[in-house]
Amino acid sequence: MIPMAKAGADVTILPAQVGRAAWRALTFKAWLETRTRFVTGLIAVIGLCAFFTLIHDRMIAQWQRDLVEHPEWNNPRWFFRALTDYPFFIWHFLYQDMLQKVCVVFAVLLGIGGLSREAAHGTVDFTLSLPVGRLAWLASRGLVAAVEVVVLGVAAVITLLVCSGIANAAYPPLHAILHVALLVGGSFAFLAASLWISAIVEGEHAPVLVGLSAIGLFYFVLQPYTNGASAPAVVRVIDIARVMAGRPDVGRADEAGLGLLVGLLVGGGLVADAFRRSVRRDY
Amino acid sequence: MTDPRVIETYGLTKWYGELEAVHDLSFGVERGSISGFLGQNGAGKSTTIKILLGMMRPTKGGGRVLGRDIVDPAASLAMRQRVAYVAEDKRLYDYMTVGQLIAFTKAFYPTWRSDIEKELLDEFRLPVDRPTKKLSKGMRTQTALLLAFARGAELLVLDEPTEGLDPVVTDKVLKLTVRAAGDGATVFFSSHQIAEVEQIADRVLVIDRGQLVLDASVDAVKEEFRRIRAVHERPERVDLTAVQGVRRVNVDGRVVSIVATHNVEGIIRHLRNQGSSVEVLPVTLREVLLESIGTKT
Repeated sequence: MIPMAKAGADVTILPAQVGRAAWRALTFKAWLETRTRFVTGLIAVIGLCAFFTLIHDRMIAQWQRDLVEHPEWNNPRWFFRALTDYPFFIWHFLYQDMLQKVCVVFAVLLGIGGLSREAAHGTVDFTLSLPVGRLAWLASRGLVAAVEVVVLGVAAVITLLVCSGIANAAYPPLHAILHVALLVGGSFAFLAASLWISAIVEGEHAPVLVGLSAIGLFYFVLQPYTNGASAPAVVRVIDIARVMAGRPDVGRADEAGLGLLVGLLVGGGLVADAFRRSVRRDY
Repeated sequence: MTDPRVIETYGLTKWYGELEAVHDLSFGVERGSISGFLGQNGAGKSTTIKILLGMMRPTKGGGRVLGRDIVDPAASLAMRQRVAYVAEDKRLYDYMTVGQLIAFTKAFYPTWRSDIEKELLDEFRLPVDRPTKKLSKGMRTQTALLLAFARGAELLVLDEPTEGLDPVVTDKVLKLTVRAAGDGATVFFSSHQIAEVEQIADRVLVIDRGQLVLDASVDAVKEEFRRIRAVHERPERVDLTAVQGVRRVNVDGRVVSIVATHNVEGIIRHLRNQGSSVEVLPVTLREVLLESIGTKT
């Protein structure tokens, strides 16, 4: 029969011995937890980018017919530029609107999880019995989610360039890279907020509801206000949605850089607070 | 030199808001022993275990597990490398298969015992490719036990380890526990099954409403604890306040029932001198437990 333990064995385990294998295990676990959300996000991003690049020609043709058939229509200002400027068309529909919202929603969804959710799910006892510090749990979750957000951004860039090529539309790669970089940077701030919500809101589904409600509040209440004439200039700087959209002709330093910095600093603060709360909390 | 006490607490107290879950708990667990931790639901067993493993912070007091301070997160982390824990709630990660869960847990333990892993996989007939969410409650418990036993830990902390298991598997688990202790591990387990504690434990600790009400060896309970039944014309006149060894007294009509921990002869002499007729009976662990937590047998 195999002996099961060694009496009084004072086993000293160096952190380096545990380190690499443990980190691999932690990130693997975080990946398994988020993979469904990530794949859904990937499908949404690729689908959205492919749709607007491949439908562009048909949309423009329809708009031109509308201009002839309905000269009485009061078309918005962006409409006329989008008719002739393909990068602006992409900016208008994707970077400042739908792709941005999809990135934000999935950044929040990918960040939801962690020890509070495990407590609601009943697995936290097993998790915390392992020789892993709470910082490592939070860091591995955050790290995997951040990588997934970056991959969503890379997928968006690749889809935009490939589908623009298929549609024979000239699209500068730098335009895509810089705009998607802004989206990913802003999404990190929302990811940080999501990690924070996960640390302060208890329950399995409550953090998701709170996170998505916060996005709704942000886009349907705060953004219309900051876009209004009465909003002070400083509010526009911290309006992360505006920052994420950047200017249509991105490529030079503007308020986006400052806004992104503010967003990331606030995000860093939220992650630090999430860690502080996780360490202090009884599970 | 190796510390003979694997677990040691002093004045451990835990408040949840207005509720005191654990009150001034001080006890020790000897290296190589099997200690049963008994108490009713909500008595404070799981809270105590969670404090010992660093999942909760005590409001007051402290302790050491394997010589490490339970309040210090870094020390607690080092301690958990040498401890295996099976929680009361045997929920496992739903999104992992049994095989993935084993590989995941193994990554944290350089002392992982692949031989025990294989042996228990065969013994419990666990399907490695099946997601844990599709396991029965019994299989989940067996998986949790495999993950604990294969860690090659010095201390096994088992919270209701046999809950939900059929008698055959329960027997296997108890044998494994005894084997682990025989091989040098210390076992600290909570249970509602007094018969299990009686079968394998060499020490019993009973907690009631957060307070330790009994800390004795099982042998002492069997050999020294006695129930003394005295019949007296005026039982209210029977005074045992100054008599040593009296644990609990119940009066029912003319019968005075006493649980004695020691000094049985002295108690008998005292009762006879007060005019009682006396009968001495052996006492079971179950009776001691029920008496300890204030429930009549």
